[in-house]
Amino acid sequence: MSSPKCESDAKGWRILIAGTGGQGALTAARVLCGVFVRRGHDVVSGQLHGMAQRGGSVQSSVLIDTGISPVIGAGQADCVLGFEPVETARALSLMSKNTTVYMNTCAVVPFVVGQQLALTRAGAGYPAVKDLIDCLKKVAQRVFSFDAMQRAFDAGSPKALNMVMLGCLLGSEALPCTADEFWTTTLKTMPSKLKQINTAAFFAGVEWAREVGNAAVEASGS
Amino acid sequence: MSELLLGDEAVGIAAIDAGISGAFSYPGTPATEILEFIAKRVGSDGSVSARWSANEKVAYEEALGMSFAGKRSIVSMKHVGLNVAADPFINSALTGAHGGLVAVVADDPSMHSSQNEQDSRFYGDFAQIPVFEPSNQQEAYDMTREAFEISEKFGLPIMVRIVTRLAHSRANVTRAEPATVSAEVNIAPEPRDWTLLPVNARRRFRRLLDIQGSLREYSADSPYNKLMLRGPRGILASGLAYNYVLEAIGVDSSYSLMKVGAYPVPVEMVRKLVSHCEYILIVEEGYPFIEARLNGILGIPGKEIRGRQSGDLPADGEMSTDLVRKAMGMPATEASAAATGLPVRPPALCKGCPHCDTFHAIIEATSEVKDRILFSDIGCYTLGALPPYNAVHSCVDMGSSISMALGAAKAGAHPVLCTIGDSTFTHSGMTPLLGAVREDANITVLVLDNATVGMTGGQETFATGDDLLNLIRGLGVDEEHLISFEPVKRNKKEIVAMMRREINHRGLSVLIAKRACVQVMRQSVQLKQDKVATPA
Repeated sequence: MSSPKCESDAKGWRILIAGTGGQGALTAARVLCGVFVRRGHDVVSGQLHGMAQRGGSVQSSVLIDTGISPVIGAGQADCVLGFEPVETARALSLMSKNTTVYMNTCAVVPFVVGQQLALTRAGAGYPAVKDLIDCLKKVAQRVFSFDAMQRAFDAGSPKALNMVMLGCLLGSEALPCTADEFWTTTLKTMPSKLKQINTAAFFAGVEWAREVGNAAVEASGS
Repeated sequence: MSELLLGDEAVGIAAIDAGISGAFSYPGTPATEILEFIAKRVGSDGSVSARWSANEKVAYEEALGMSFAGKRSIVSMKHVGLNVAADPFINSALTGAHGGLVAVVADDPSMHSSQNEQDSRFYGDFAQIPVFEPSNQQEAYDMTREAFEISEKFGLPIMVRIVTRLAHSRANVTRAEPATVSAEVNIAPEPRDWTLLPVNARRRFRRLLDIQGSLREYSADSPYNKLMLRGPRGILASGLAYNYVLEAIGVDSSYSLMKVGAYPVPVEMVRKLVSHCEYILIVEEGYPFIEARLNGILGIPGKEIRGRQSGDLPADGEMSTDLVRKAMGMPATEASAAATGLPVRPPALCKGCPHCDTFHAIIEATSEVKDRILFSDIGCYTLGALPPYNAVHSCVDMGSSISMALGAAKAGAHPVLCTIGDSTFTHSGMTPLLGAVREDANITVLVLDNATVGMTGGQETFATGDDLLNLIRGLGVDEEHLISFEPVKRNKKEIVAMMRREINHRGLSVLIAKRACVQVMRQSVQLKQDKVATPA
């Protein structure tokens, strides 16, 4: 709980999940909320999608034992789960040096013709993921990026991306709940045919977060 | 009994616990989930009738009829839906309610998925009925429960006003004991009260005016209105905005604080706050409703009243903790600037959407015409306004495409085309089409029949396929110029030729583009696969 990785002090935890429509960001938020409510925490969670259900930007906030409104203020996010590189960068103003970022490097390039035109007009096309990471690192000290989509594929389905990302969050040991406890609670409400793939995906995320977490601690010489 | 619920769901479960017999609505973000939740929870057990209505006006009237029959009912809609239902809404303040009648209206400040950000509290004030404005999910539950009680106590419809951020955010809600209501039909004893002939209406309006005093007494005593007098700097906040104020002031307890959750605005409480404080910041989600009333025309000499009107808070858009901090002169929280140059993801028509083929055909059929007018309506197809189509010249309100087309044609414009979805057509397109038939208006109406309400997540529609064709035929459209086609690429040549012919026809043509929404197709395929995959 007093992990150095995700600094939250006594004020609770503000988690932002950023992605695009169809990536399962809203489901991830719901799962996260469900577990912490069952464990007796105060939870509020917000989502913004509106017209964006057709592949647009989706942001979901989960505030545990903190926050009266479901909105995360500027610079107030403790942890950002970025399901998509550009969408992670879009949440930059909510980050500060204390924010921990877990980012999936697999891009969702806008595929519809109209959006491609919009891209061309913006002049730049889809930005280089490396540049986005550099941009994040200028603000947040702990930015961990990896191909989470590959882990989801390895687990059995690209749809399990959200479980890989949740695995990162729980593997970071920043929250007042272990990954095993979290998953035991989650499984209680999950349809049986999804259990196997989701379990593999979740623990792939957990394992990866532990690896990069330990590496970061070693690198800082503590 | 506690559950993690969306604001919309908290309202829904409250209505169920209040013992409703019916829930009425038309889909519209951010209110859609209210009826969906009620239907999912109790729609199948027969205890509650929970179905979509043809439009919000119809939904409101159905709820009012249920109230007449002595049963409790809820009607829910997005803010602009109340414009459609405004006629029965305002008049129901005169008829009054018999069985509890609660109208839940979801406003959309910042216009996340709406064409304006009107504030429904003005409608409540206009109708002179009580309004509740919850600040969180628990209050959404408690206030909706309370709304049913006082609806029957005062014999009035009651409004519960929520906003997008509340409707679409989740928190824990503790439910109270379900109400015990009679299962018997109990018809309103005085039909004259509901028959708004001038002689009755005058009497009923007098009655509405006469009970305003008791409504003010009620809100003055309501636990949802609170006042804490402390320092000379005061803040008055309502609904969801109250949370941002609490977050902004944090542990600083030097501010005097007033919270409004039940309307009419508690006047005596405001008076106490104003006489105690020199400076008052008013924080509201929506328009400066309370601020404008407090200032009146001339303002209050010697007092600094700050808010959206004074420019200390922005005049439009959603409220936030950061905005409140700024208005209070507090240092901004440490934050980095937003990243720039990121590609945007505007909503767009899906890959394989039938509307794409229809728009491509329209563009080609009218490519040689210099001054074409392409009116459109409310739905996914409004996205035809974006590149590469640029084939939408208007989006105003449900059904407006056909009526505007008629007006433009009368002005002498040609060609005038309009696009309207099947659900929007049965919502508000049939009446203008009836007018266009009578005039044989020189317009080409394209009804985009994708068999669903696409934009709000795929709700069932009232008329699709042959039903829709027969409906339009029944309105009197000339058979020769009533054409149904399948918008697919391989038919494009014939479709374009047919469109050209009908555009050149000097009179009314109605073309039905009939192909199911790809999202709905995908869902039904998935359902079938799931059924195959899970042995019974």
